[in-house]
Amino acid sequence: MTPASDSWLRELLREGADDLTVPPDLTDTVVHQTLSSQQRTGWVRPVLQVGLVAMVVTIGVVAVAALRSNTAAPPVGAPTPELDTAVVGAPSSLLGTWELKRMSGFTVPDGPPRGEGIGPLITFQTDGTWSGFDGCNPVSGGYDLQPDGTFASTVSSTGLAACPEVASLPLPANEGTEVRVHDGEATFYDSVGATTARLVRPLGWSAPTARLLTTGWGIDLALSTYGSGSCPYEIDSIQVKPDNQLWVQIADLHPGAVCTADFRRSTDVAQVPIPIDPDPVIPTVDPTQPVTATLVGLGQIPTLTVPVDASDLVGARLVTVKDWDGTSVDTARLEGTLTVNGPGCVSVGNTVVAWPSTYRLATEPNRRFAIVDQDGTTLGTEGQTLTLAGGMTPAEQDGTTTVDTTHPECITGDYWTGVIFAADN
Amino acid sequence: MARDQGEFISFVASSSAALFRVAGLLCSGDHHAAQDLVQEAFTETYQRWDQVRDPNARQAYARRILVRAATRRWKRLARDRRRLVSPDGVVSASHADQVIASHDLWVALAALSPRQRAVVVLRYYEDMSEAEIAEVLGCSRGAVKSHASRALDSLHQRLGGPDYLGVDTEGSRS
Repeated sequence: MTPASDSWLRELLREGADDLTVPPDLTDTVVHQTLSSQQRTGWVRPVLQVGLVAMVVTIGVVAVAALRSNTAAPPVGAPTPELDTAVVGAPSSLLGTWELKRMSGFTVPDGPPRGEGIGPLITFQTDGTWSGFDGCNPVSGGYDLQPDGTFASTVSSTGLAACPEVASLPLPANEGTEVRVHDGEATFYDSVGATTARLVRPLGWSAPTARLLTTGWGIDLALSTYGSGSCPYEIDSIQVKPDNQLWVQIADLHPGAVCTADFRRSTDVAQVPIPIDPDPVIPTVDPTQPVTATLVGLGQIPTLTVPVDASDLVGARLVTVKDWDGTSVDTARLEGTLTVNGPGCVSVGNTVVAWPSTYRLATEPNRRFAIVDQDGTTLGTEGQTLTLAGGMTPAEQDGTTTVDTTHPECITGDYWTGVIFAADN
Repeated sequence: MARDQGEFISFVASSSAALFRVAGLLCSGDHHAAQDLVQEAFTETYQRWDQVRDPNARQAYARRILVRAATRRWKRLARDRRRLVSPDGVVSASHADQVIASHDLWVALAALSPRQRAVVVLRYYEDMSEAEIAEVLGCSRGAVKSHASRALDSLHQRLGGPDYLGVDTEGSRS
């Protein structure tokens, strides 16, 4: 597209933009709302300085005795480990249960061996809350983890009344705190890169694998694909079939192509993939209503192989002749491979074919598309050499046509009208 | 973050109108939606104020937030439209539908996919390169080219190309 040929569009967009009336109070409104929202959420920063502390305080009751006798200074300037960009900073990478192993300014007691008994545990949930158990009381609060790893937390509920001996602890999370999740460990860094806390996954903990937990249809998620080269970015529609298979119709996907894609919730962060919500899931399923379906995955991208039904594909174009069942046909012969041309029109060799109205597309188990008759009998499969009976039909010049006009882009010149006479094995 | 408020106000004052126009194009002329997007872009930019110090980088960051928020908005709209389908298949007209039906350009832009629309606005209004657009949208340059090509085809069909403005192929008004 040369600058000359798109100048009309540039001008049109400029005129359209100029027609937009910028609200006279736009700056004032934006500034006011932005600063107000910061004040409303300003709890994050101040509480950051006490929030995670309190959280650790409460979960660290079992550490108090050890704290009194053993204070370990944090290593300053600890190098950031090589990071797995698939999980670093992704909010869901912190989800699930963790065991506190180390905190700046105090030493977590040896306590029960990892994975046994009840140690200081923290569980981060998808709704932005955390909960823990300090060995005495349940505790909970809120947290915020940005894709770049910036972390903040609050405490909304503690059971301190039953454990009055809880002591104050140094801050593990301060201004500029970041979290990195790598290889089963969550490490907290302060603003100068020093490690302030370390959490590990409890023994036996494993990330759930992707699964669908609903029947019915309709997914209340905006999804994008970031998958194999055959997967376009845009998804036309998504369905969950009764057998719990995820069916995705993708615009312009070549009929018969297999698209193995990562499905991710649309996200602000292009370079850091964010797994689809990992948490359960569908509280109730009413088959008569649209269903919200959630893919389950934790710390990993659910990858599904998508069944592609050629008859449902936007890109599959089978041209038929209206009111013609193929019983009367010319006797010329056309031989060639059943395929699709550039626009996705079903062709034999390089020739676009208009088929009887009783023909339709289907998908074979091997993902190739097939042409079937009204009884469902397969007449030809993609890649097969077909022999057609019929004849060449000139393109209509006067606008009248007997061809089904559903796919006008397929009939741009002469085309073959015919039936499948034979197919090779 | 009070120490940055003066700088932030200057930033908003100098860039909000331009950002609003981009948002307006991305929203097919829906003023209210455009203002919401601008608000979201500035709010998120302010949250990253300390990490993005270069003024040009801040502007680019705000635009990136805006474009992605616009993409999410269109997907949400598409989803909501599906919800509006009544049992007999009749779709109720939404406010957005009424708004975008008021201008050929808005209608033509609304017919594009969210990414196609973003590519068109960034390429032909913001004059960004394919590489820059790819970075904003988080996709490959090839995908940007593909989106641009399809979008132009669609706009040609709906608006008639240069004839719409009476512009010849050299770009001058006839």
